[in-house]
Amino acid sequence: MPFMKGFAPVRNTVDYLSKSNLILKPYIRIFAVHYNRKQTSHLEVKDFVFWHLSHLQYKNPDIQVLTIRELTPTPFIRVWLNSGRDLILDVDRQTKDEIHERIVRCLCKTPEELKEEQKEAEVQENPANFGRCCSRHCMCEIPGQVPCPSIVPVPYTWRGKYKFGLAELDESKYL
Amino acid sequence: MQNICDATVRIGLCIPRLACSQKVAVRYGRKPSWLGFAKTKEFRVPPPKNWPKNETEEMYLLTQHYYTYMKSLSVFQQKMYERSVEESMAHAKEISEDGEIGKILEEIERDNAIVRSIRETELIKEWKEIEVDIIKQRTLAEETEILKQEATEHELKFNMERLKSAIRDDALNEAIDKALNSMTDHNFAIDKQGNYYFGRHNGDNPTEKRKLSTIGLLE
Repeated sequence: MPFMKGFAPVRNTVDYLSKSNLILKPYIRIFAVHYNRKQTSHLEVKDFVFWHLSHLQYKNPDIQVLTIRELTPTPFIRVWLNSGRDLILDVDRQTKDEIHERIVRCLCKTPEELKEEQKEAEVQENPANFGRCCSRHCMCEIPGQVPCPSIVPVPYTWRGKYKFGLAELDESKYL
Repeated sequence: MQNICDATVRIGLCIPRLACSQKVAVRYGRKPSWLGFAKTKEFRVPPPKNWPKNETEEMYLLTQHYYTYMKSLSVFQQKMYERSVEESMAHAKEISEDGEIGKILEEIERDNAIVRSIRETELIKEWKEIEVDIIKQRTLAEETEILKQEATEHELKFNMERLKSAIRDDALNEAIDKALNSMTDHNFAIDKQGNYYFGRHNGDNPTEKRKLSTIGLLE
């Protein structure tokens, strides 16, 4: 395997990368982590970068992910938005798991949003579907099905108004 | 003349659909198209309407002008409507995004305040520990300094005492004469009781008495 090199090469596997819920909101453009390598209060941030930065980039390929080292007394995460605005998360003396949970809570898509996206993707992916946003708009377009009633009228006995007694049967009227 | 029909008839505006078997007398309405032409009127050819050529051309040009004008107006209105819809959607999206970002910002500020308070308490604790260490080291340094000073003083005193009996340059000749004139008697004896007899001429008087164990002999 070509990438099974270095410390913890499991981070390069697809299994590991796909098991992540760090899917950021659509209006986030840049994600920058500022920390030092040798200070004791920065060690947890260093661990977070080691284990979870690859997750972030894998799940958000359009976002620029940066690490800026040895330039700050306290570690922090800076996020730049579409509008040019930036948000700063102070992560001094927080554990790796706390940082992960905080990012998921504040900056990532909610489970409801992810479910909706998944549904839409399923609708588009399944070629047998018809309706809005699909290749076929109506069931009448599919071969083998009842043709469009606007072109070939449906037999009157199938129509609800005659079936449920809303009108009386009269073939001459139907023709 | 009244027209009697078997089905519903549209009289000007729409009326509710009646039961199919009812016969309705119609006064001002037209005969329904599904009834078909009457036999007398089936092959009737209406006389052609003769319009002057100029008038037809003018009518054609006027209608064309009218249609293009109306079409351009409707297209323009459609574009204006689409633009307004897009702008309102973008505005709504911005508002919703701004609202969301505002909430996120509040949450982030709250968490940052908690982290800040934790950092301040821990920094105070760390600085106190450092302060205690510094004081400890300072006292240790002062004590070692005192000990060093005492040691040097003791050594100085010892050397000064020792040097009291030292021979100076000016008294060197006298010291030599004294040494040459004085004779040291290194003779001594020890008896079984442990008495030391120093000097050749000691008169059998023990000068010193020690225990035999001190000179390595068994008692």
